[in-house]
Amino acid sequence: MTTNALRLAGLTKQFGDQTAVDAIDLTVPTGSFFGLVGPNGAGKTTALSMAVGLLRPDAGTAEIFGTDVWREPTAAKRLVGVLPDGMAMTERLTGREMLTYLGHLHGLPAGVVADRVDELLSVLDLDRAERTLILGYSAGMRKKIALASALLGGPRLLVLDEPFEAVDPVSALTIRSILKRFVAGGGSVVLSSHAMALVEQLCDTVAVMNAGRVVAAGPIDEVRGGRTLDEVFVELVDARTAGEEELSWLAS
Amino acid sequence: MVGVLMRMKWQILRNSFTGTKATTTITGVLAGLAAAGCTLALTVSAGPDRAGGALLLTMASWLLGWIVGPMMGGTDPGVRREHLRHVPLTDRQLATGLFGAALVGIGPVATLVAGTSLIWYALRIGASAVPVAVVTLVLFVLLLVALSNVVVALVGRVLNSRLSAALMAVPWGVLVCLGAQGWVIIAAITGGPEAALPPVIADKLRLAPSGWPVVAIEAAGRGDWALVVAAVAGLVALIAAALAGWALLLHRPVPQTVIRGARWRGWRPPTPLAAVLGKELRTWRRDMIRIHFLSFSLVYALTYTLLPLLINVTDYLPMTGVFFAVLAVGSSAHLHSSDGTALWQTLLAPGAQRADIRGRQRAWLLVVAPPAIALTVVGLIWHGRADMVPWAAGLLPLVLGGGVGLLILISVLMPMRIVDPHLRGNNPGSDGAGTAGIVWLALLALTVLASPVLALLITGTVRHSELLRWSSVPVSVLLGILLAWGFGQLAITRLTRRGPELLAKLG
Repeated sequence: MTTNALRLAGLTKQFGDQTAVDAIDLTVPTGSFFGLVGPNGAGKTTALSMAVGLLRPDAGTAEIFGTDVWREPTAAKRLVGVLPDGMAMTERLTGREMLTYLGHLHGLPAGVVADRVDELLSVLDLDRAERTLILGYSAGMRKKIALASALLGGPRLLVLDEPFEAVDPVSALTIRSILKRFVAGGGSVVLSSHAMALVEQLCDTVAVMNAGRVVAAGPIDEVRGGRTLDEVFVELVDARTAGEEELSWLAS
Repeated sequence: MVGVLMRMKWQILRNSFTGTKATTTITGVLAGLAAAGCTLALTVSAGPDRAGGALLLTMASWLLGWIVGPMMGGTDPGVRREHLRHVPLTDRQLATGLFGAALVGIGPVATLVAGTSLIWYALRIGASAVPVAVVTLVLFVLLLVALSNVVVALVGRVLNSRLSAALMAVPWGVLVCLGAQGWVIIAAITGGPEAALPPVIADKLRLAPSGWPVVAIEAAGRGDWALVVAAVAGLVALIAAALAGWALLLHRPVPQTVIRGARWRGWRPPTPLAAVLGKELRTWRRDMIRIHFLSFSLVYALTYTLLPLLINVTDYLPMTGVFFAVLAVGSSAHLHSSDGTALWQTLLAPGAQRADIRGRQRAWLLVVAPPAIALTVVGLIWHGRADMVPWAAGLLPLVLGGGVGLLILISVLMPMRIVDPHLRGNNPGSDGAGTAGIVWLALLALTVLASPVLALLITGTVRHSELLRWSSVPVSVLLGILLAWGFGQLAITRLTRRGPELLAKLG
């Protein structure tokens, strides 16, 4: 029997009288590069937070390689590296200090931490800002140091919320090649994104979320059905685009 | 423009009465009304010969409160300059608009209610003084709001290095301490609240802007209209000056201060506990708000114990270390909240909760205990007699141990949403959130925890029993260790079981 990298079953979260995530089921096969797309407010971040143990679900289960995230959090957390969107980090440390701190907090041996931190900082081109505190990092640098901290523990699954947002093209290429190599080496990746073209290029499996539900999921070619992901997406989420007659006052 | 911003602020205020912020808002309303009620009670109940003096004192405390309050972590968020950065407005329009928005709030209303005591006073003096009282009351509220905003803007500009963060704490520490001790001093000079304010002090208070409304009302009663006009003109001029100064300060956005980290030095040993300890010690050195609050605690404690030297009393000196530690507990009881959503990093590290709590506790002790002990030793030597040794040695271990337990427990039990560090400026005046309540809670709880030791010390002193007095020392050490360990244990359990809920309240 093959275990899935991530399996969500009936996962639900209610904020007040609004259902942010409505009983979603999602399966990420081991070794897949999984893209989660959806319009703003679809519930992507909420779903991913519940999947990794940062937000307690009202109902449903989340399993990482068969380990229940909410029943056995310690075991599950050893298997996953997470990049949340827009959260603070240990801001008053330099990049090297923060990665070392996290490495030790995760209980990795000193030598391993030192080697991995060196390598991560140089690959992600962060080693030139040796004395800059995270507080002073640009938005792109923040994404990169967050990715480095997700990779540091040597996880088998990466869960990345908007990893390419605000990242410059050169760094984006670096991150893409890192992620591709990670998958080629047997790792699994789940990422959420607004950039359809990027998801089409990188991912082999996708799920489309809208209004707290999964409206389509499966291998990317099946979901696309011969069209572009953009077109399918707009149709699936029933979005309307601005017509000719609207915003006529703009630059007239 | 002013109208738009005032409506916006009104909407924000209405929203803050519902949802998660409701408790904070309602506490604020109650505190404001209580302060206003005290002012009215003091001034209305005072006899005819003392009402003027009472008014001078209470108005001066409102002035002090408005200037110092924001620095103690208590401005309401609402409409901020950063929100309007891209709206094309002149500095003057911006200052007037923000001023209008600042007037819509709990503070101005509470001050207005308290200020009606000016009208009561005018009624006693004569009908002709009443219109003067109404005009000066409105001007006084406008002045306080304007001054308060100038101070906040000024501090944001000045507080841009670690040195200035420490130095800025000096005037605040002295001012707040004088505010607390001032009543005592005045009472000492006047011989208690029953007596009228001595003319020397009353004259000084009349010169301060807070005294001008009283001056105008009294002048109106005497028919001295020239003085009335002068006092009113003075208030108007001061408001204009404050607004002009504010517009000037708003002119340029405050540049972010860059603190450089050190060149890399290794972390030994490579354990989770040492990692948290290293992280916390670096943060204590690099976070200007933490530096500011620690310096504030030090300045307050020193002012408190050095002031009695003026009348040759050295009995307070040995207690400097205890006072410093107590204040440091109060100003550190929101450690987790001040780190904001960074908590996710702890939550995702398997089993890191224990290291997080114990590491933070050790770091706080390493930062606070050495200066507290040094201050105590120096104070004891300076005092030169043994009578205060049981007090200092009996309270310090409890305050340090109980305090380090208490602050970490409050920190995980009572999270507050503070702007995430990378999104906020350097200004405790505009980013401090409602930390004042937490400070008071911590101080109160610490007093309760210290009560067994205090009981031994007081009974021992009253009954002249050296045995009782000295027995406070072992009790204090034991209790301190027990509380540091036990409260820490509770905090670990709480963080382990309810970590995600804590994160949700911070995000």
